[in-house]
Amino acid sequence: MADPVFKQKIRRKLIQIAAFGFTNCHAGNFITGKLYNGKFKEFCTPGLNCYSCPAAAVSCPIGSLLAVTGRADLKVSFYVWGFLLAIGAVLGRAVCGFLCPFGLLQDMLGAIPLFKLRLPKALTYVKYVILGAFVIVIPTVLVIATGKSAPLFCKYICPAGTLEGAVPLLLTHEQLRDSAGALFWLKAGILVLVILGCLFVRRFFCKLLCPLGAVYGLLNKVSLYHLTVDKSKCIDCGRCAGCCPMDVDPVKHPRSAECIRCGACRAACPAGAITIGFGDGKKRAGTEEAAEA
Amino acid sequence: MNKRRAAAIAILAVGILLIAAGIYRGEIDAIFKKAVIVCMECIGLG
Repeated sequence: MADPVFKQKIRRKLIQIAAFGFTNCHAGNFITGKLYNGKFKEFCTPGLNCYSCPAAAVSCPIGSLLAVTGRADLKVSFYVWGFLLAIGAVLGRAVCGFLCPFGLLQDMLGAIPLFKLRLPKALTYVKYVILGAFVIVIPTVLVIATGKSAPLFCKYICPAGTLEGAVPLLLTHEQLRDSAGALFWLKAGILVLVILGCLFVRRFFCKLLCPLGAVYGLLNKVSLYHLTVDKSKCIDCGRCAGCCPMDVDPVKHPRSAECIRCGACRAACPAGAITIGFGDGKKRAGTEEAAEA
Repeated sequence: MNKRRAAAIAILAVGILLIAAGIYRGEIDAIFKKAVIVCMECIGLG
């Protein structure tokens, strides 16, 4: 029988690769540098994936949110906020663990065998400041005051946009290279810092900077897809907390805003005390036991 | 039904209503227009 930790890793990786492939199914456009311009671009992907990426088939929710907020006739995006609330209420940060293309890239960087550091908990609140300032407050104030606003998070911070959008487009469009000024180099610096961060801190960008993770993290408190710990089975071995890529102790905080529902803790638990799913944990555990018997 | 589950279903319902409102307001068109061109400021080039 296969090792449950290995099985869990393979299953999650296959889902991540499928989500990455679906979100970026126009990979041939990397050669021509053209963007896909079909109807699927009307829809958002749940994860972070730049819509100016030549391979992108769907739109980034943060980019879309800021595109609508920046228009004086709209100012706030009901469509994207509704999408984020609906997805978050069902899946919470399982989106980060399974569906986000930038999450997969971070996992790949994190898999490089170097020593890993824990980020101080206080720094995990930075992403809420970024969500509040760069995605909600400043763009809204600017559009009310001046009639327009730039997509601030995308413009000044987003490393996914630099990696997936700016770099391939600069490589394929000679005429764009004159536009690569101080702002581009600032963003390239952020991208390099994020890549270095991901080598030494697992899911560095998710923990520290991602505004999408901040939204889904808040919804983790109520999301239908959730983690349950049966404390009557728990033997307090600490393996779950030790293997968590997000530095969560699932026994103490099963609804943590940081938990990406990756299932590493469930696979590592020798007592079968942890379940993840949509229903009641006890009922699921009973079903699994019956299926095994 | 516990409170968390009820809250999640209520948020899901609000989300679906907001999506419908957004479609009615024409937001999809705004997103589409932005997403099919190279958005220079979105990628730090403008």
